[in-house]
Amino acid sequence: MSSVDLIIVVLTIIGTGIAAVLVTVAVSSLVRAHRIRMEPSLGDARQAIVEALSGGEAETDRAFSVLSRFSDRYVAEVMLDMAPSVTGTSRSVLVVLGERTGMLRHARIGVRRRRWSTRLYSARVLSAFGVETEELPRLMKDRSPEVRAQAAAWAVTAPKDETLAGLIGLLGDTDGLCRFAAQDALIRVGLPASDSLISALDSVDGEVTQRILEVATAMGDGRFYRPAVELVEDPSPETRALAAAVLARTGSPQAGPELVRLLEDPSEVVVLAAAVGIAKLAYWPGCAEIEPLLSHPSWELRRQAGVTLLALGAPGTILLRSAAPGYGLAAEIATQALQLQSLSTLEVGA
Amino acid sequence: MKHFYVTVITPITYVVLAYFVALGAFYLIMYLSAALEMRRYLREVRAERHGTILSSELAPTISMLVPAHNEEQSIKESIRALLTVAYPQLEIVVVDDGSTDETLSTLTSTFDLIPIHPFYDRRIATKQVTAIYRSKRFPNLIVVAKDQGGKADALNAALNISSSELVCTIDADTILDPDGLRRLVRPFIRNREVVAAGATIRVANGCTVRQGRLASERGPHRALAGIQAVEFLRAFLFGRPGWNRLGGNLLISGAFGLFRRQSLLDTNGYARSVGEDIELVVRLRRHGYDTGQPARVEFVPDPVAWTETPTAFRELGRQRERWQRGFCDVLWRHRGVILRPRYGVLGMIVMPAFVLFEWMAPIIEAAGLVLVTLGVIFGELSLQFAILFFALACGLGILLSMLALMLEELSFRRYGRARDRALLVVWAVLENLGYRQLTIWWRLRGVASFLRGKKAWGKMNRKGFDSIGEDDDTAITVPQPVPSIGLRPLVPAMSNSEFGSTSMMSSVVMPHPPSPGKTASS
Repeated sequence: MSSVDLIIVVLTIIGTGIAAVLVTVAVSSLVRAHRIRMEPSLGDARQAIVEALSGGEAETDRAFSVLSRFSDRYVAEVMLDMAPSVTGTSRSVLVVLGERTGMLRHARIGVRRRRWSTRLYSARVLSAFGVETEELPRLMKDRSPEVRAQAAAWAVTAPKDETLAGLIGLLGDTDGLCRFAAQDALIRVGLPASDSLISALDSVDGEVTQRILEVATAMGDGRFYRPAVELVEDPSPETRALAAAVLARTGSPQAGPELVRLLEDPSEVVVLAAAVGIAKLAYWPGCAEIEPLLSHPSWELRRQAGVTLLALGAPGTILLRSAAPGYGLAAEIATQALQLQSLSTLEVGA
Repeated sequence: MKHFYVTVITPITYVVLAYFVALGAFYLIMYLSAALEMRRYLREVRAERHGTILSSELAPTISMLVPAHNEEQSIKESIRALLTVAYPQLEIVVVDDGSTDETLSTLTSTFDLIPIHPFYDRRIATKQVTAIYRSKRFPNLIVVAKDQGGKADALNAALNISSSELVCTIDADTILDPDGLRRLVRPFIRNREVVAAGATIRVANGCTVRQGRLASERGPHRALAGIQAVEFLRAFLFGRPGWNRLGGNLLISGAFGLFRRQSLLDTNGYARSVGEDIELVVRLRRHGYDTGQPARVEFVPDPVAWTETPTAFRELGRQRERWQRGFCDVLWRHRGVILRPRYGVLGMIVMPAFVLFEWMAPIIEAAGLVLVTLGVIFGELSLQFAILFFALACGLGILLSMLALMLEELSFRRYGRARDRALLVVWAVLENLGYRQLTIWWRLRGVASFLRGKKAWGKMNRKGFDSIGEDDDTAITVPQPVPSIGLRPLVPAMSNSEFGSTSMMSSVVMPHPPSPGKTASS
C-alpha cells in the first residue's frame, strides 16, 4: 500500500468518524427539540401538581392522570423540581403522587442496585421526598462516597438514634464530602442530636472530636459546656481552640473566666480563639488580660486583641486609648482599632 | 538543492510525521479520559441539590478578587452581577489598579462607598494601597484603591485584604452563572488537598445580558467569535477534564478560578508574569512537591463564566502572541521541573507533554507546512500527496472539534438553539481553513518575542459590556465580532495573562487545551 493509499484510508476513517459524530449530534438535537415541544405540556403537569398540593389528596387523581401521559423521565423531572420546595401536608400529597406514579417504588429498588450512580440517584429521589426507608443506615456505609454523603443529607428527615449514630460515624469518613454532609445534617437536626454528640465525645478522639466541636459551635447548645471545659485541656491545640469556640457559643456565665484562662495557652491558635470568644461574650472583666496581646508578635493576635477590646465597650476603649500614643506594635494596632469607624465594619471573629 | 532536500529535509519530514502520530495518540488518550471524566461528573451531579452548601454554616467562606483597570464602562454591571452570585458567605474585593478613568468614582457613586481604615496584614508586598472602601448598601463589597502595578499586583493586594478561606479570581468583565461558585467549591469540601479549582469559560459574544446576568445563551453568529467558541469548547470539555483524570491540570483560567487563600500566601501570591495564572498553578503544584504539602488542582466542568472574545484579527493575534509568550515564560521559569522524577506526574508527564504538544506545536506545524511545500517544489512529493496530507490535517482537526461538540451536546447543551449548534459545526470546519494557519503564525511570533525578551503588556483598552442596561432591565446583546480586520475590537482592559493557545496541534491539527483569556493591545 502506497503512502497515498494509506492517507486515503485514514481520511475515510476520519470522514466516517465525523459523519458518526454529526449523526449523534443531530439525533440528540431532535430529542432535545422534542423535549422543548413537550414543555407546554410539562407546564400543565406542574399546574396539576400544584392544584393537587393545594386541594389535598382528593386532587391527586387529576394530577395522576396528567402525569401518566408522560414518560418516567419527565415525571421524575417535574416532581423533583417541586419536591424540595414543599413541606407538611403538601409533601404528603406529593409522596402519594410519587407512589402512584411508581417513582418512589423505583427509587426504593434503585438504592439496592449495583451501579453507584443508580443508588445515588435513587437516594436523591427519596431524600427529595423526605421518605424514610430501612435502607438508609445501610447506605451510610455504602462503598461509594457520593452515596454515603447523600444518605447523610437524607438522614435529616429521620433523626433516630440509629441514623444519628450513622451520621457521627461519617464524621470520621475518609471523603470530605461525607464529613461535610454529616456535619451539616447534624447541625440541621439540631438539639435532638446533642445527647448523641456529647456521648460520642467520650469515645472518639482526634479529628472526629474536632468535627463534633465544630457542629457544637454551630448548634450553640448549653449542654456542650461541660465537655468543652474538659476538652480545653486536650493535648491538641486545634481541639482546645475549638473547645474555646464552643465555650463562647454556649454563652454560659462560667465561660468567660475559662476563656480568660486560655489566654495563657502556649498555642497562638488557642489564644486567638479565646480572644474571639471573649469578644463574642462581651466579657469585659477580661480586658486586662487582653491588653498585653496588643504587642504580641503575631499580627493576627494583635488585630484580634484590638477588635476584642473594641467589642468590650468602654473598658476596652480606655485601654486602647492608653496604648495608642507612642510607638511600637501596641500603639500601632490600638491606633488602627480606634480609627475604625464602627465595629460593624469589621467582623468580630478573626 | 534536491540532494540537500533528500539528505537533510526528508529525515526531518519523517520526524514531523512521527510527531503527528504521537500527537494523534496523545489526543486520543485525552479524549477518552475527558469522556470518562465527564460521564462520571454528570452521574455525580444528576438530580443534586446545591441548596445544602448554599445554606450550610460550614460552607467555606469565599472572597472574590476582582482586579480592574480603566473599566468605567463595565465595572458597574460586573459588580452588580457578582452581587447576585448565590453563595452564603461571600466577600467581594474589587481592586482599582490605578485607573486613570472614572472607575473608582463610578464604584463610589453606584455602591455608596465609604472609606474604612486599612486594617490588614500586608503579607505580600504590593504597590501602595491608597484607600479602602466598604459599601454601605452591600456590606460584603470592599473596594481597594491602589497605585498601578499590573494585574498580579492588584490580585496580591486583594489577597492581602481578603479574609476568607478561599479566594476566587475573576476578571471584571466576566459574567458568572449564579450558582457557579457553589459548584466550584465542591472539590475543596471533598478533599483538603485541593488548593485550586478551575471552571469552564464560554464565549459571551452573541449572548444577551440583563441586569448583569445572562438572559439568553446564544452562540456567536460571526466567524471569528464562533471559531473561538469552538476552541473554548474543545479546551474546556476536552482538554481540562482530560487532564483532570490524568491528574495533571495546570490551567486555571484567570477569568474564573478558586484557590485556597493560605496556599496562595504560602507561595507568595501572583508573580509578575505575562502568564501569571498558569505560572501560579505550576508554582502551587511545584511547592506541593517541594514541601510535601497538598497541591491538587481540579477542574469542574459545569460552573460557567462567560466572557467576550476578541472580534478583530489584529487583537486576536496579539492575544495569542501574548499567551504563547506567557507560556514560554512559565516553561522557562519552571524548567527545573521537567523530567525530574521528584515532581511526579507534573515533572514526568504534564510538563513534558506541554513542551512537546503545546510549546513545540506551532514550530512543528509550521515546519510541516514548509517541508511539504518544498517537497512538492523539488518533486519529492506529488501534488496529490500534498493535498491529501493537508486534507488529513484538516480532517483530524475537524474530527476533534466535532468530538468536543458532541461532548457538549451530550452533556450541558448551554447553547440552546439548534441554529446556534449548527453554526458551531460550520465554525468547526471553517477553523481549519486559514484560521488555524494564522494561529500558528501568531504563536510563532509569541515564541520569537519571548526570545527577544519582550515583557510589556501594552496599552489595554476596553469596550466590554459598555452598552449593557444599567438601572433598567433592558436586555442588551453582547456585541458581535466585527468582520473586517482593523476595526476597533472589544478588548478587555485587564487582560488576563493566561497563556495557552487555542489552536490545534501542529500541522497536524490537534486542538490543544487552551486557556481562553483576554486581549492586550500593545
